[in-house]
Parts: sequence; structure tokens; C-alpha cells
Amino acid sequence: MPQAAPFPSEADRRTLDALADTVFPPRGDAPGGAAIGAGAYIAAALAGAYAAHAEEYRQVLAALDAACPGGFVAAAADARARAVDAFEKGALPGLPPTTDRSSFDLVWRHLREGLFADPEHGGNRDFSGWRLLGFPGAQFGYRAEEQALDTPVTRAPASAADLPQSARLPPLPTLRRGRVPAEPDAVVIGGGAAGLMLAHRLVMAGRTVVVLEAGPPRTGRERAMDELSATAFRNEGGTAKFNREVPTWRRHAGERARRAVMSQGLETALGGNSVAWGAVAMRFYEDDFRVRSSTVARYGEASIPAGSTLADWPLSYADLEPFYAQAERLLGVSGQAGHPADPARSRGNPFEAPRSDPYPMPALRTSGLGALFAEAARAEGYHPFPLPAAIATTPWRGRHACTYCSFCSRFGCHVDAKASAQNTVLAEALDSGRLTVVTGARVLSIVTDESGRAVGARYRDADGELHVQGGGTVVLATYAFENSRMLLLSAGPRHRRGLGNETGQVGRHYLTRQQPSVYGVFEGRLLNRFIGPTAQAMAIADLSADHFDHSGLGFIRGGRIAAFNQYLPTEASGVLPPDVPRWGAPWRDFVLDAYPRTAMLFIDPEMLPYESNGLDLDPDVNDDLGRPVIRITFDVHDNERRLIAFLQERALRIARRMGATRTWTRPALTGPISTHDVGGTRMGSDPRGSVVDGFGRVHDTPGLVVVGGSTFASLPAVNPALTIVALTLRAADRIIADGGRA
Amino acid sequence: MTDVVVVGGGVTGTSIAYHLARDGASVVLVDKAGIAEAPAATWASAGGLRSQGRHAPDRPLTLEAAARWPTLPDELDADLEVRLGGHLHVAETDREIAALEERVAADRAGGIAIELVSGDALRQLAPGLTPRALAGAYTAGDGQAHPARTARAFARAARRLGATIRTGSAATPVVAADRVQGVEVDGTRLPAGTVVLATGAWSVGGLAALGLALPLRWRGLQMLLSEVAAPALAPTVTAVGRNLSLKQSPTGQYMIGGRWFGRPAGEGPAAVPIDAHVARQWSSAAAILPALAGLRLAQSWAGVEAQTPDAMPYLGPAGPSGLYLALGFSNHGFQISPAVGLHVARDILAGPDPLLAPFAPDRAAGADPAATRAFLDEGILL
Repeated sequence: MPQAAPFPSEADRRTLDALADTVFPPRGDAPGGAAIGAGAYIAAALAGAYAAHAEEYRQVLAALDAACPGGFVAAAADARARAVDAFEKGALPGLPPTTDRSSFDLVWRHLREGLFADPEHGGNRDFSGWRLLGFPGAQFGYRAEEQALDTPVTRAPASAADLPQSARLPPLPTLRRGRVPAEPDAVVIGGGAAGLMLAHRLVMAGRTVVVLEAGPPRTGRERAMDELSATAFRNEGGTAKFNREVPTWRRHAGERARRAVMSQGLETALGGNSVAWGAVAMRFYEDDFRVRSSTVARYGEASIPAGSTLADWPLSYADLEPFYAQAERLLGVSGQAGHPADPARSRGNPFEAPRSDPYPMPALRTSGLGALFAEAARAEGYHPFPLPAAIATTPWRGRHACTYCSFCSRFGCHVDAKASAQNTVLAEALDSGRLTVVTGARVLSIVTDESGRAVGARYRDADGELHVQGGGTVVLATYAFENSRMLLLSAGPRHRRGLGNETGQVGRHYLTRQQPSVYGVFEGRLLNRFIGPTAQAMAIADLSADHFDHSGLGFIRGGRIAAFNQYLPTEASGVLPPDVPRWGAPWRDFVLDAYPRTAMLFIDPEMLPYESNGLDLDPDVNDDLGRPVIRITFDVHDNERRLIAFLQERALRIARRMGATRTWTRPALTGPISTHDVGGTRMGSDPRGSVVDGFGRVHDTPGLVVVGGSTFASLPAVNPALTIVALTLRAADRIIADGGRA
Repeated sequence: MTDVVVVGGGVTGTSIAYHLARDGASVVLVDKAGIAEAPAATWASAGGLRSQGRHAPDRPLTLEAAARWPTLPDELDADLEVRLGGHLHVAETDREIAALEERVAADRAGGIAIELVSGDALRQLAPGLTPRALAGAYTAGDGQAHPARTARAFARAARRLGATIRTGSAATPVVAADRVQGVEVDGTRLPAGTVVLATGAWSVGGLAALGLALPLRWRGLQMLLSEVAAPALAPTVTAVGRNLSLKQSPTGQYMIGGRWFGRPAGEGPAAVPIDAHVARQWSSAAAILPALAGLRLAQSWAGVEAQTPDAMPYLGPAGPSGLYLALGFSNHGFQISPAVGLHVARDILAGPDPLLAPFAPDRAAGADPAATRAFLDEGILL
């Protein structure tokens, strides 16, 4: 057998360079893609992290060569351009077949990584890509005056590898000492925010707990400040397990489901999504908990959209308020309280529900962009406020205050300013001596006894060995997808349709956030949105919930509009108005010009549950262990379509008033694109319409408690995390009160 | 059999292990936690590299270390965040100037390159200094480095030279026939010719268990870190009349130390900052550098430090034969750590090193018992 030619060969490298220069051509004042190192980056990645894409690249490069007489490298610029144009359109003969994305999508993303990711990965040579954009890279932090509008950033670019370490932070505590107790008071499945917060509460009350975490241990600081290693690009941020069991998605029953392409991967490692979250930590509004009855009371029964299974929650805001307050202290939330009676007396959110305590820390500072948004929003008659965030603004229990660096949402925090399970409750819980965390423990099913009671969990350890871990109470605390999946995969003699599924409710009432953002470019200005955490944002809630009269609007409920920070170059180079192409001089010129002057008004519309949306086990697709993955059936319905169009129109008005010279809206997508997936094990008082009660106790399975967003009855226009934690603390107290008799 | 077991993964223990390995000895370093982990002194240290104002016996070591810091990153192949912006000890009154002059004279006699600065020269060195600062003693070769990074770099370099680094396991010296036989780690005997205790605050109590009646205490020392500020202060600043050490770190943050005690927390050595001390520590720094008044506090922490009555470390053999102490650095062990490692290695492998003679642990025998008692009992509130 002849030895296969090495790939990429020298000739392939030249083709990659030519492709890089065609997609990002040099201009008088700027090196091209090849000189920046984008081609070399891909060549190196194909021998390493992207080896799995080598065959696809081989075919792409061959197709490009075949499209130009004499080959792609030797071809004139216009011939290359024609080839790339055909490549983008999928019209190039010889392109490999692909399903959920095109080969151009892949190559374009990789080229952007080579142009704009941290130089330690081999591209962005001598920071040349970042210099073109004015992005200084991995900076420990920024001063307030650097966030003022129209301030040129003069710092020398730096790599994440060279970050100074002046903060003094603790190591990861020992997760497991000695033997794992066989029969702890509780076994918790999932070592993310919900699981560890619940475990902390139980051990501080004297209970023993074993947490089974499928992923590896980590402090959460490992991948700070590297855009490429974050979840959106290489999905390396602790997503090993999730990457093997990505759900499938279809819009309607009857359609064949395809792999769900998430905008954000899910963190299946210690700490879960509490490491990479955006940390907006906001309470729901009072009427969110009686969303159906308050809507019916004001607009009549007919206002509930056809097919919607909208329901009230089985608890009130007042029931949850003490737990909100505790959650805010545990996480260390910074914020500014509102003043409902006299909004002018506070810069907080005037629609905020009553609070028993002030925010533990002052709000994050307001950036120049935030002030610009606030001024325009006020002029439109709204009441802007700084988003509350689980980001420390003062020293907080050993954590360092926020440094306003460029890497927050989708990254672990380099100084532990952003709350995670690790930097809030884990050390204290382990110090009690009553918590054991087993990592690498992939739970396969919940074990029930002859009476139908949950008594433990069956799991596979990192070496593939099977174990059964007992527990007086079994707590399911994985993500929304895995919560439903675990129940459905745990059928037993007493639970033939799966646990919690006597009434066929598991997987129902699933809903997921849509992110119909509005973008604006501010010609001649510098916004420098790459400084400061995502959550350092001014927002308005005037259009949320039922804070405005919906009569005649054709939809119920509302959404939040906020001017979010964080604009990292690899991602930003893919954020384009509809009339800007993805390659060539027009793309290059737009990206280089728009980068420091683009704002995003992020819209969080409230989503409603529908009969036709839900989760079940995919009959066709299995994970690496041969177990079916979750199949998502989800589409956006008319009520939300109209709501989204309304919110985008309002956001565009704000953007123009802010002075945007060019605006566009993110294409209206559908499907699971966020990390706000909720429902599937909905809470309620009636088992015919829910899986768990208001404390997460599964109606039909004694000894089993489910926590997390999967228990939500609705998805208000507020980030779910703080409510997840508050509900979890409430569930923990009930486990303690039930004394193992749940 | 291992030549030397070093117990303790701080900057002293790792430096000793590195130099021993460099000199060809077989070395195992054991730490019950990890290298330079909280709340140990190396983890908490503000990282000042100060050669001025030290005890006379320190001077040969500090000179040697000062000569080595500029090239240590290359030697260890690691970023240690070394910044040699100098050290400036300031006086705010005439009486304090006299103290400065004494320091300058004593240091000069010991070979330290130190100068007295005032007026424009002083303002140029530290433009943001309070007008009340009248003069300063300046050592240009001093500066700062990152203690934990340095310890980790020493440990990595030691490993490259063949040393074994074991973390997460406690090591207990095993003594038989008045001789150290080695240590016990995780229930297993690890025979060794010499056992070095570089166990810092954790030595308090541990020495008594080995039959050593050496006066030693631990205290929590607290540090502050400001938010990021524009680069403005090159030297580390201390003051004759204040409990203060102030420097600007490579991040632009001001790091504030001094001898401010934290409150003991938990069972073993551990401490948390005392709010009242945080306030006074910060305002003391703001009095020297007024721009601090406009900045916010970003982090405070406290680490634990072993201290001796004469504020000099115990360096040398003590107790059963084969036992060697390297502890009690009393808040100023970091700068000399490269030299301490080198000389301790020589002391162990090649026989008594005269530079270390003044630090012999048996000097404690001659101390006044009442003064020792007062030292051990001293409170933490300042």
C-alpha cells in the first residue's frame, strides 16, 4: 500500500494561504489573511485540534484548485474570487456533502479564528489581526475612563498566556476524601450550580451528600480569556460529555430531527454552566408567577394564544422572595434597587418586585455605551437601569472585584469576580466533611425500589465501570435536556413510561429563548464594546411582562432590551449586516471599520409553552453509549413572532436615537439557540399538567426531587439563573424538612 | 533512599529542592496541599524584592539574591512577573529623616547600593507621592516579583532536574535513635538522609512534636489590592513612620501590605482580613499616595506567616540528627529565597556554610524567657 500523502502538504498550505488572502485580501495599510497567519493557523489545526476536518478540507482545496485552470494558487485574483464565490454558494463542483452547515461555513469560521484568535493558537501573527481591529487582547482589566465613549485604546496587545496573576485565589479543594458513603442522606446527580448549591444547603444542615458529576473537575479559571477555547468555537470549555449527546431538533412533529446547532455549548464539567454563564442575576416579576391568571384577568381567556399550555406557577413571588435574597447573598449579586413609587429617585428598575434586602453590592459601573443607551431610552420614555449581576464589585468572600476585562459570558472568570459554584459554596460545603463529589461519574439511570421509590443512581465511572450510588433522597440537577432524558431513561416496573411520567408530562412544556438582537454601527464614534463584562449593561423593562398595555397589539407578554457588552473579534467578524458579504474586500473593510463602533441591543423576549413543542427521546440518534439523545420539537409561534417584531422595532428606535448610522436586525431564527432552555419537568399542583410540585418533588416517584430550569412553568423576559438557584434553595429546605421522607 | 526530603511547597522549600537537585542530590518535595497554595505565606505575599533595611546577617544573602533576580526568569524558564522598579523608604518628618540616614549608612556599610533622595529626585522617582514625603532611601535594583509563580517555577525546574514533587500528602518526620530516618507519607515510609522542614506557619506545634522547644508563632498577614489604575508608581514604597508597603503591580493595581494582622479562622493556620485593619491599611497608603483615595478596593486576603522573636529565620540543623529547619522568615523570606535555597543546599550537601551560621536555630536558647513569652502572646489588633 502506498503511504497516503501527508495533509496538508506544502501545496495545500499555499492553497490555504491563497484562500486566506482571497477571503481577507491585503490592502495598503493592512496585511492579508496569509500574512496574518490564518492559512498557517488552519494548517496547524488540521494536524491537531481539527484533524477530524482534514478530509473535508482535502476535498475543498481540491475543488478550489479544479475550479481555476492552473490551480487556485496560480490563478488571477478574479478567477480566485469566482471560485470562492461558487464555494460560498455551494456551487463548486467537488465540494463534500454536509448536513447542518456548509463547508464554507466551516472554513470561514476557521479563517476568522486564524485572523483574530489568540496568537498562542498559531494565527494572528504578532497580534497583527488584533492590531487591525484595535483589540488589545487578554488584558487583566480596564479603567473606567477607558470605557468612556470615543476613547482610543492604546494598550499593547497581549496574549492570555502572558496574563499577570495579581489576584490571590484559592485552588480547587479536594473533592473526595476516603470512601464514598454508600447511603448518604442525598445523592445529587449533576455538579452544576443547582446541584452544588443544593448540596451546600443540605450539608450545612448536617446532612451527608454525594454529588455525581459527569465531567472533570476544574476551578473554572482554566480557560479564561481565550476566545477560541470557549464554548462557541472549539467547544472545549468542559463540554466533553455534552458534545457526545447533543440533542436533535425539528420544528414540527413529523419532521426528521437534525443535530441541534447551539449558539452556546453546555458546560458538562464541575460547576456546569455556572462557570461560563453571563451572570445576569435578576428576579422574576411578581406577575410572572401568575402569568396565566393575570393575563386572563386583564385581557380575557381569548388572549391566551391557541395551543399554548401557559400556566401559573404553584408558588408566588412572596413564597420565593426569601430564597431570592439568600441566592443573591450566596452568589454575591451587584445591583441597584429600583423605586417603584418614584422611579426618578433611583436609577434602579422601577418594575422590580419588592425586596426584603438591598443588593449585596453596588451595581457594575456604567460604561459610555451604557450611558448612551440610557439617555436614548429615557428620551423614548423608558426607565433604564443597570442589570443586576452575580459579579462582585467589591471584595466578596475571598473573590476579587470585577476588572472589566473582555471575557465574561462563555468564559470562566480569571479573578472569580463572576460567581460560580466553585467560588461560592463548594469550599465551605466540602469543609463540612459531609460532602463528597465524584467527578467522571456519568449517571445512566435513577434506581427505584419495588415500591417505586427512588433509592439511588446507576453510573459509569471514568474507567467504564458501573456503580450504584444509594441516597435517601435522589436529586436530579442536570440541565433541562438531561433532566427529561434521565427520567425517560429510568423506566422501571412501577414506572413503565419513565419516572415522573405517569401522566405523560415529561418533556412537555419545553421552551427556549430566542435572541432577536438589533445591531447598530456608529460611524465616526468609538464604543469599544470589547471592554467590560457582558452583564455590564443598561436595560429597560418597560416592555417586559405586562408592564405596558397590550390591548390591540396582537400578542401577550413582553421582552427586555439591553445594551450588552463583550464583543470579541472572532465572533464579531461574523456579525454582519445583510448587505455585507462574508469575504473579500467589502467584508474586510466592514469588519475593520465596524469593530470598535458596533453596539448590540440584546432582546430577551418572553416565550410561552405550547402543546406542539416538547422533548422526547430521539428514535434514530444515540449517544456514544448507545442511548437515545433528546429530540427537541420546537418552533416559535405567532404570539412570539409578533412580540419579537414589536421589540425589534422599539430597539431600532432606541439605536437610531443613540446615533446609530447603520442598523440591522439579527435574522429571526427559531430553535434552541441559547442556554435558556426550560420546562420538560414543569412544576404545578396538578399531576395532569406537571411533573413536579413547587419544591421539585416528583408527583409519582417518592424520594425523587428535580431542580433546575426544567421545572419552570414559563420563561419570563428575565435570565433564569437566579430563579433556578432560589427554587433550588427552597427545594433543599423542603428536603431537610421532609427528613428523607419526600 | 532519598538524599533529602523537603517538606513544604512554598518559595523556600521549592528553592531548596531546586538547588539540591541542581547540585546532584536526589530530592523529594512533599506538601500536604499544593505548591504555594492558600493560605500559606508564599500564596499571600505581596512579592516585594527589598534589599534595604535588612538585618546585618541577611545582607550577604540579599545581595546575592538581588544579583540573581534579573536572570532568574530565564534560569527557571518562567514568567515570574519580575519588575525592578526600585524600593523607596520615605520619611515624613525630620526625625524620620534621621532614621533614613541611619539605614543608608548601615546598608552602605553592608555593600547595598542605596542612596538618599529628596526634592525633585524624589518626585521623579514617585511623582504621585504626598508632598509630606520629605526624603527617601532608594535602592534602584529592588522591585517586585510574583511569589507563587516563583515557587511553581522552582518546583517545575526541580522536577526537570529529577526531583519528585508530591502534593496533596502530609509528610511526618520519622525519628529513631535520635536520628531522622525519613518521613511517613500516606502511611508509607520514605527513607531519607536529611529532612528539611520548610513548613512556615504549620511548623508551630510541629516542632514541639519533634521535641524542639523553639519559640515560633504564626500570624495572619493581610494584603489589599486596588482596582486597575494607570501606571504611575515604579518603586515599592514603604515609610519610616507607617506600617505600610505599597506597590503597583503589572496589572496596574496597587498592592498594599505592611504588617497588618488578619483574624485567625478555622482550626489550622488560616486567617481572614479584619475590616478595621483594611480601612486603616488603605488610608495609610492613601496618605502616602493621595491618588488611592479615588480608587476602589478590589480584593483583600490574609495568609499565614511564621515569625521568630528576633525576626530572623531558623536555618540549620536542629533536634535529632538529619533534621534541618528552614522556617520562620518573619515576613521577609521572599527576596532572599533564591540565595537561601542555594546556601541551604550547600549547607546540607557540602558541610557548614558560614553565611548561614547567624541563623542557627540554637541561638534561641539564649533568649529572655519573658520577652519570648510576650512575643508569643502578642495580640493581633493594631
